[in-house]
Amino acid sequence: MASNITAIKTMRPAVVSFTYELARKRCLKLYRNCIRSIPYLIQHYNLSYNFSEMKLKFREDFLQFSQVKQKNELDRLAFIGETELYDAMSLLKTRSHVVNYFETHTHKKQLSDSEQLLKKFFE
Amino acid sequence: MLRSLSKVLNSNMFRPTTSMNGYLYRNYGSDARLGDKEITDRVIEIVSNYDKVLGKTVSPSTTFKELGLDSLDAADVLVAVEEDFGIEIPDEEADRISSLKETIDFIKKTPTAK
Repeated sequence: MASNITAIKTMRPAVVSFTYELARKRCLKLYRNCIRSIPYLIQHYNLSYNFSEMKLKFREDFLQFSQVKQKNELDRLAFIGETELYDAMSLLKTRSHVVNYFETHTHKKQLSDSEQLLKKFFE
Repeated sequence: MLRSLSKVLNSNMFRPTTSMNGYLYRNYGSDARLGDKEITDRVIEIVSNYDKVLGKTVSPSTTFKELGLDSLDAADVLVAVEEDFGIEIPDEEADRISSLKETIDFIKKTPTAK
């Protein structure tokens, strides 16, 4: 039994950063991996987004949590991101999952544009 | 047995003479490594084409901080460099790199850069 537990631990070690700096580096590593994976995502999921659009979406998501200073919180966020990216790259997601993720950004932008247009029209 | 073997190995028979040097090294093609100037020019071009750097003077000695780039921007620039040179910068190195000079030095060290 004990040997079994050690085997599992060596296979999937618990990733908990010792310091805040290490947790931050882990997040930057995730960001680099996200950007590196953009061409594969476009190819695998037949996406019609621009490279820079997708990069902007990733960047927005990371900047959203730029104020987080707790090590454990950063670890939690990095773990969620890593899992999502792993799932997307292993084709465990469907196209609609990925499109939905990127659509939230572009959709918001479109709405605000139309709202602005309408505002101008009513004025 | 071992003594005799060591004698044979130490003898001049297995030592390359100066006239043989040409035959001992494989020399199928010229060195494919990039020149220092080419690396520097290409890195400067990549960095100066980045959105936030447009209009700023970029020299090999400038750091990413001086150009007003944050950590995410620096990661963007490094990924662009990776794509252009067809290499992958390991995470430990990527964390350490904070200036153009360090980027250029890393590419100089990498023989697979093209």
